[in-house]
Amino acid sequence: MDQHRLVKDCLKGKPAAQKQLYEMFAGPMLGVCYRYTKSVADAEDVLQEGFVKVFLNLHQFKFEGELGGWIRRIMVTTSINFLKKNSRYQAELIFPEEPPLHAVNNDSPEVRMGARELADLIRQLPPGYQTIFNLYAVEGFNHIEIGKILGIQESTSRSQYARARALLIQWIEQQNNDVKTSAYATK
Amino acid sequence: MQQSEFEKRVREKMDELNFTPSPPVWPHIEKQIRQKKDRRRLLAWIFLLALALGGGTWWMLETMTDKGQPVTEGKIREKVEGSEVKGDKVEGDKVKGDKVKGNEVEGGEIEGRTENIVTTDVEEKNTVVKENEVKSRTTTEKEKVTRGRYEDGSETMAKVPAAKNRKTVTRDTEPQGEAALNTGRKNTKPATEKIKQDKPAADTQSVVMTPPAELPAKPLEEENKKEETTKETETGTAKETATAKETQKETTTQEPSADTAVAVQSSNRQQKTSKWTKGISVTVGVSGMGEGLQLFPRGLTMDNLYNSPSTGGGSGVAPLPPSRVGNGFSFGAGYTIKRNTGKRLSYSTGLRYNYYSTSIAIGTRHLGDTSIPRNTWGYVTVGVFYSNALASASFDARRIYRNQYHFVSVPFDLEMKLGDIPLYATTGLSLQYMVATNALVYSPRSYVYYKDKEALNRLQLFGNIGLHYTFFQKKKTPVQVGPQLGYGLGRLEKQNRSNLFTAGITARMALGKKRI
Repeated sequence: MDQHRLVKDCLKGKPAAQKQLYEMFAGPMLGVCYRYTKSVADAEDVLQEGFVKVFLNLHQFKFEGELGGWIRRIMVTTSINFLKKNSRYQAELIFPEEPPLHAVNNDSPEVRMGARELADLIRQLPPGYQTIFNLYAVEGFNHIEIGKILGIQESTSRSQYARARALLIQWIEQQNNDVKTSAYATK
Repeated sequence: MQQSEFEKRVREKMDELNFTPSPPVWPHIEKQIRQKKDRRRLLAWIFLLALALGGGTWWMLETMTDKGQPVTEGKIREKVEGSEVKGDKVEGDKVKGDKVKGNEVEGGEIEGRTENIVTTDVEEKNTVVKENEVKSRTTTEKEKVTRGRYEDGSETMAKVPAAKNRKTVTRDTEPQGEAALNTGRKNTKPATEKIKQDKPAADTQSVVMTPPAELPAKPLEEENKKEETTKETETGTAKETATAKETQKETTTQEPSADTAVAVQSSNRQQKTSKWTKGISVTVGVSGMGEGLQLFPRGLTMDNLYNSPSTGGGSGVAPLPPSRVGNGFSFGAGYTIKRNTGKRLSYSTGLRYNYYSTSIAIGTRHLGDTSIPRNTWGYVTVGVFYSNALASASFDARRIYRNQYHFVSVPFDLEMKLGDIPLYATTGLSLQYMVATNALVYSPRSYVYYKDKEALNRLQLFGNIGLHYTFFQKKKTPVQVGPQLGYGLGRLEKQNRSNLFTAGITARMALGKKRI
């Protein structure tokens, strides 16, 4: 079934179509939510809330872009709102004293690990870094937009991202080295 | 910062990220969509209802002429000619300054003079009026019917004294109130909803490791089990009770887990929050005078001052009928306290001030101490009285008079939640005492309006029904808004079959969920 028809059926309130749409996008969207939260349970909560928004606002989708992109934007917004609302995450959106910036040998190291491992590394980033990294590197927002979304200065977003990036590259390099060492050891 | 190769790689990897959500996610989504769509539909209906009610109120108020506005001669002449009282027309020029022969309202306006208006012999008076009437007047069929209705009315009034009638009303309504209360008590059961609200607390205690679907489910299930066993113990035989108690003991002794502790804590919390909550309520709408089943008569305008001669007529043959009673503005405000008796049921009481108004058409104002015969018994001496608008000496003297009633009331309402949405149906009784009024009563024996508090039943019992939707339910100060109807179960005037009614929009606001 093409997306046009699927959306129309969903708008008519057909449960089968709604379930089909959910099944089509639930997996990747849970991945989006997973990157912003600290647990699968929270990610599922966000996914649930996000899909309710999707179905209630589906009439606003005018087929001007991809349906997946539209749903993804809703998921990102819902994730950010979840972080803002949830007391457990509020502390993470407050930007603390910045840790010293580490020197990075390779500006763009190869990412040999799997998607899940990389996502877990991103989720291990210090408070605030995780959100900014996700918004900038993965979603493609610029720092002005991120500043507006999180209610921070553009410069803060920029510096936080630089630190997050450096930290992540350091961890990735470390992982790559570990893999090299273990491969050498096995040889 | 220009996005480099690294960001691209990360993005590609992240695009590959794919999880399979746990099975309960979709049913939850489906349920929430249905609930939210229902809520939207309901909100739309409430909005339409409020719009219709507001429009109706506006229309009713709009159709009423301002208090004291003089009537133009042309309008009245047109009206009088078109009305049933055509034969009775008292032409301004003739009456002005003249004595209406046989009619004891002599001289029109007499200021500073004490005068007795004696109209003992109705038949004689009618004859006199007939003589004064336009010669061409004949007794039409319509008139005969009217007279018949008057006579019927007076007979009924004589047979059913007001006091007796009031008693009957009280007897009828009291059991309803008690029955409703009993139902409320029977329905009392622990609210599981509160536990749902406590979910975040449970979340934080058991932290993130547990899957989300299971987290709230366990305490809820236990709570439900408890409910079921409690129900069984209430309804079952003694044997069953013992078994149930044993089961209950077993469950409590076998599972003294952290979840149980959370459930117990939340139920304790729920008990604490189910105490009295304070609030304020405001009602704005229309009020009027209903007659029996005719609850909502039209608003009074200068074009429909007189419906039929029987309107509000007290006794007998009245060639000059009283004015129709039009609707007016009503307002109410008060302090309420509310208590939940169960998951869906709560009751409330408090103290309110209520203002009602109605409008009537009156004629010339007369000053001076005057004895006016009451509808059925004795005389009352008044300083000011008003003639019937139709008998008014001058057309310009006719105007709309607003009867205003100020009541202090003690309401008792039962509130029931309908379905899963925050929509509540309320019903209740309200005991109201009239503390002040400027209302005029009509004397069908002398065709005048006068103030007589003795002619009014100051104590009124109102029956109320309403429908309220709660906004900001999860906030500290939830607001309930919706239509409400009230109907006076007793007569307002002792000798008149008329009951006050009110219809309007009520808004109630809880002043935080504080214990009293």
